[in-house]
Formats: sequence, structure tokens, C-alpha cells
Amino acid sequence: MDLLHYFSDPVLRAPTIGCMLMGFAASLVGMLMLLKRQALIGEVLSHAAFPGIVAGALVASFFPWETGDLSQILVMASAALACLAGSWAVSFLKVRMRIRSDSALCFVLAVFFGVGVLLASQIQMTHAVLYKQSLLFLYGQVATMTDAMIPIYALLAFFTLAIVIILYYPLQALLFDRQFATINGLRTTLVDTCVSALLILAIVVGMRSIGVVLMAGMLIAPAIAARPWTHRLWACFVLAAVFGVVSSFLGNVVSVEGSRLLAEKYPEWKFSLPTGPLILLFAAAFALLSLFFAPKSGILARIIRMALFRQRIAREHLLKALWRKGRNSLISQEEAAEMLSQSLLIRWFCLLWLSWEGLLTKEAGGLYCLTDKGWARACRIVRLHRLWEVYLVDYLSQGVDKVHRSAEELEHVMSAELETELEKLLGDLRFDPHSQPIPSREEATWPTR
Amino acid sequence: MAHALNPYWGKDFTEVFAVLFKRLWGLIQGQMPAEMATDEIQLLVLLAISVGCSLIGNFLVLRKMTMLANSLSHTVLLGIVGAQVSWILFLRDSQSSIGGGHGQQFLSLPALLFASLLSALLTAWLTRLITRKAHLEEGAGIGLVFTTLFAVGLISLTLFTRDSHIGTEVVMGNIDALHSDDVALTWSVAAIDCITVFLLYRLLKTTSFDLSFSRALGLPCKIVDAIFVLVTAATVIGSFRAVGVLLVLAYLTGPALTARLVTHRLPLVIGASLVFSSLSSIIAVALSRHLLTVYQISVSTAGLAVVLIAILFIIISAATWVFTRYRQSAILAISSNTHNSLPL
Repeated sequence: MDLLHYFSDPVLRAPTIGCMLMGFAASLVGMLMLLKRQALIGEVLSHAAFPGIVAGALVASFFPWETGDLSQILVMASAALACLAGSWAVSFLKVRMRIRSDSALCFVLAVFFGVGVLLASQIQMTHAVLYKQSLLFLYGQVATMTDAMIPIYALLAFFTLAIVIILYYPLQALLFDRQFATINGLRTTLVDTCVSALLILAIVVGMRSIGVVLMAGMLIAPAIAARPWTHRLWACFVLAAVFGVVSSFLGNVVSVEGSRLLAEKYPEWKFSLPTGPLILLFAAAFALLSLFFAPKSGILARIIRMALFRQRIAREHLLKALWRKGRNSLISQEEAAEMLSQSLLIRWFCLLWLSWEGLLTKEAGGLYCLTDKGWARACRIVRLHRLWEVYLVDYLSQGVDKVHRSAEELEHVMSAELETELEKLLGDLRFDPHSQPIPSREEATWPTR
Repeated sequence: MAHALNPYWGKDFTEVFAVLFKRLWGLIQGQMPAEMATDEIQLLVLLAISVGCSLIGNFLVLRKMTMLANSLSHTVLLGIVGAQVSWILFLRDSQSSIGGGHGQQFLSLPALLFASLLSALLTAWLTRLITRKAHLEEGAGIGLVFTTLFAVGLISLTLFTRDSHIGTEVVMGNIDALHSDDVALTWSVAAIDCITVFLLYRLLKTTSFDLSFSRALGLPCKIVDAIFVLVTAATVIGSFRAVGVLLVLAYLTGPALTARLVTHRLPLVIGASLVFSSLSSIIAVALSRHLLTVYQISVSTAGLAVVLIAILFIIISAATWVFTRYRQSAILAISSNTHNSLPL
């Protein structure tokens, strides 16, 4: 399978490049919409384009000399107009009529689509060919794209890129701190208008290849895929564009190759894989994978972080329990099991980790013993616990019987700065509210070499 | 043929009502007509949709769940296609004729409805899951889930039936293909909506207006929410044959938003939205017949009804705008008078 072939073959060239341009424009604009927290406006405007498409096809039919490409440009223009009307209607309902965002979006979507259905039902009788053509825009139809349209799509897509680059800093200010942008004299309404114009451009570029119904997904999925990987705006844009373009390409390849394979295997069934939905499936798969596997904010990373934290708490509890037994006492596996009520695996892992850190040593007969370093660490945990108890009782007037629970949680997360501040505030203390001795600072520090 | 049987054939706007009332009067007198005319079926179905949607739609708007309803309505396609595909793959006896002419052997309506209900619930559950687990904004989660499921539905549709006709019909509805079974279906959905709202009225109201308060009271918020999603899905699915899954959204939101312009008391809002949507339905049926008779233009009644809902919204909002302006100027006049007369 020669992938370059998709860019040179006269039949495959136009659909492939057209879809990739669609993915590019949609993912750039989708990132903007995601960061503006208006992800669903794309859904509304792409549906709002439907009456425009039908009307454009109707108007184009009045020109007797019309060629396919001219009528397509007409359709695109009137779809853009319909999108514009939809976007105006949404903002009118939201701002002037004070209707909540979701109801306004849903109402505009349904009404515009209703107008589209009305027009479509009219031309269904009079211009059956036009009806078929406008239905193509509903779910997209890439196979019939021609080379002549590619320069126009390319122009629109690179226009989108140009606006995003030119407006990069204003957009950044607007997306992350609207009030700051306004105070600094940025013309927010103008930038907002530009963003709406970008959205309309992206929809117009994409509706031929992926269709108005699935366009919303293409606006959202690559942006969601890019977002968890980085916190830099430009990197978000670049990643989203990469995801968008790659999923468009893959969707095209799988559609063509898959249809061919299926046709070879089951020639009598005449299977064919639609391109638009496949592109969206790839983008959605990227989004789901990113949400799951992204470092730091991915679901997996969060699960691991929580597990590690629980593990650390278990280790520190074990250290405390050992500290209570005394300096040079030895414990066996069974005694550790009594101290730590977690499962066998976690307990075993705790002991292993502590030995690896050099806090425990394994003596003869499978017995464990605290090292000097381990003793110091255990002292520090107990010290933090008791200092916090003193603070709660003395300064926050908590009952002596109530402070243990809070200290039990805070001993694991207290920072060194907080410890120093507590020492400064409380002075040199010997005993906690329960008259238990507090380990001294010297005891609790292990000299780092 | 059918034209001769249909008493509404060749009637204009007012004559439609005349015929309707004559036939209704005949019904009251005990003369059962042989069968319902297409226009009457359309009218009954649209009225049922009006009843169900205005009951559910108001709560949808209050709970800010209209876009969730939008995603449920999209994934109805997946349910229908899924049922069809699994039937073709697993349940049919002869595997050999898959590619052949199976166009007539569609599943029964209840099976399709059950499958779409399942897919709607799957959508709602997945959306909640992904917004909660991945800390996504709700809109983004909704958009990701339903478009993906819709894409899956489309792929299996083209793969297994090679017939995008179902897809178009699901999205746009086909009000001309209705028959008397649909009247029963839509009215039973409307009855379910009525019963649910009647039984759960207080719970729905409390949870819609103040979720934290109702949680603090220990009300079963999650159960109410689940029931509500279920009923919404049923309403959307019950209407898709008549008006399509997208136009039903206009029935859900439009009358509710219009009614909120007029009043703010919930029972009155529900009543007003019921009046508005029924009005648009009745006018839509009569108007589409009128257009056909007088101008020979055949338009989709469902599309017409949606446009009428929008027009009604525009008229009512303009009226309230004029009214508030008038009242404001009256108040200003009074207050400026009193202001002058009061010593300050």
C-alpha cells in the first residue's frame, strides 16, 4: 500500500486533500471553541447551514449555464450566509432575550433545520436532482469531489490559519482572561466576530467532505484530543491540527482500502465504507486515547497518582506503627499485617519500597528493623502529627478529642515550609495535647549527604 | 384513488376546518368514518407530540438539558441501525440473502423503539461518564459522544443496508407515511409523559429549580434524573417517525421558551406552551393542505409546524417587548410626576 499514491492519483487526490483541509480548518477553530467553552455552537451552526445549502442549490438551478463547480460555490456562499444568520440568532436570543445558552442553541438548531426541511420538501417534488445533491451535504460525500474545488478549500483553510496567527495574542488574552482583555482596550466584540467568522469558514470548508451533521464532532474531537497534552496555546493549536489532519487522512485511507478489501472478499454484497464517519471515528479515537493516556491530566495518570498517594500513606502508617514499637525492635511479616490492614500485595509492596528507600533493613529470619534514616522519617511524621494537634487546640480552639483525625490526614501532605512556620509559631514544644512526647527536630531530620 | 377518498382534498385553509368540524360532529353523532384521512392522522400525531413535548420540554429548559436531548435524538439512528443489523446478522434464518432484497423485511416497530431507547440511555450514560471522569466541559462531552455514536450508526447503516434512506427519514421524519398505528404510538408516549409529570410533578419541580436544596432534603435526585432522561428519550423516539429527531427539538424548546415570555408560574407556563404548540400543529396541517390546494406546493407539514413555532415565538416576543416598553414608559411617567410633587 503506497500512501503517497493518495496524493498523486487523479481520482483519490481531490478527496484526500479536501478532507485534510477540512480536518485542518475544523481542528484549529474547534480548539478556539473548546477554550471559549462553546463547543456546541459548532453543532448548531453546522445544522443551521442546511437551509442555506438547499437554498443555494435552488438558486444555482436558475442559472441555465451552471457547471458543477459554480453551483458548489453558490451553495457554499449561501450556507455561509445561513450560518451567519444562525450565529446572529443565537447571540440575539442569549444577549437580548436573556435565554439560557443551551435552550437558545437547541431552539436555533431545530428551527433552522426545520426551515431546511421545509425547503427540501419543496424541491424534492420540483427538482429531484437538487434534492439528492443537497442531501449529500447532510452526511458528506467525498468520492465526487473534484480537483477544481481544492484551491478554494485550500484558500479558505489557509485564510483560517492566517487569522489565527494574526489574532494569536488578542485571542490568547480573550480566551484566558476576558476582563483583562477588555480593560487593556482590546476590542472584544471585534475578536468575537472574527472567531464566529472562522467557525463559519471551517463549516463551509468541511460540509462537503464530512457533512453538516458530523461537522460538530470534527470541531470538537481533535481539540479534545490535543488539550490534555499541553498547557501552551500554540502547542494546543499545532497538536489539534495534527490530530485533525492525520485522522482525515487515515479515514480516507481506511475507507478506500477497506472498501476494496470488502469488495474482494464479498463481491456479491457491494459493501462500501463511508469516509466522513470514518474520519470522525479516528478523531474520536484519538480524543478518547488522549483523555485516557495523557500525562498529568489523563484518566490513567490520575488513577496512578491516586494509587501512589495511597501507597505512600500506607508506608507512612507502617513507619509510625514501627516507631511506636521502639527503636530497635524487630517485626515479622505477620506483625506488619496486624499494623497495616491493607491487602497482602500492598503490604508486601510497602515493605519492599521501604527497604529500597533504605528505611528498613531485613534482618535474619525475615524480620524487619528500622534503620537510622527510617527512624528519623518516622519521627518526622509523628512530629508533624503532634505539632498540628497542638496548633489546632491552641490556636483554633478545637476540642482535644477531635484533633487526631485531622492530624492523621495532614501529616502526609504537610510541607517543610508549613512545618517551619508551625515551629516558629508554637516554639519549642515537648508534649502534644494528649501529653504524648513530640520528637525533637534533631531527632526528626536525617542529614542529607 | 386516495384523492377521492380524502375529504380534505382540494380544500383551502378555512374549508379544512369546516370539514374537520363536520366530521367531528358526525363522530359525536355516532357516525364512525370508515378510516381516518391523512390530514386527521397528521393532526392527531402532531397534537400528541405537542402534548408530550410541552410537558417534557419545560422541564428540559429548566434543567438546562436541551442539548442532551439533542444528542439523544441523534443517537436514535444508532439504535435503529443496531437493531436492524443485529437482526440481519444473528436472528434471521437465511444468511445467504443479506446482500439481496431484504428491503421489505424490516423489524417490527416496538423492537426498533426499544433499541433506540437503549441507545439513547447509552448516550446519556456515556456523556455523564466522560464529563465526570475526564473533567470535560459538559458541552464538549455531549458533542464528542453523540457525534461518535452517530458516526458508528452511519457506518453500519451504509455497510449493511446500503440505503441512506432510513438515515434521511430518521433525521427529517416522513409525515406523509404515517398511518393509524402512529396515532396510537404517539398518544401512548404522550400518556406516559402525562403520567410521569403528574406523579413526579413536585419532585421534578424541586430538583429542576434547586438541586442542592433537594439533595439536602434527601430527595431521590438521581432516580428522578434517570426517569426524566428515560421519558425524554421516549418522547423523542415516539416523534421521530412523524417529525424527525431534529425537528422534535423545536417542539421541545420553542413553545417552552415562548410560554416563558408570557408568564413565570410553572403550571401556567406548561399550559401556555401546550396551547402554543397545539396551535402551531393545527395551523401547520391546515396550511400545508391550503398550500397544496391553492398553490400546488407540497411542503413538509413537520417543517411547516417548526417554522410556525418560530414565528409564534417571534410574534409573542415582539408583543411582550412592546408591552414592557409601554408599561415602563407609563411607570416612568407616574414616577416623574410623584417625584416632582414630593419635596426633597
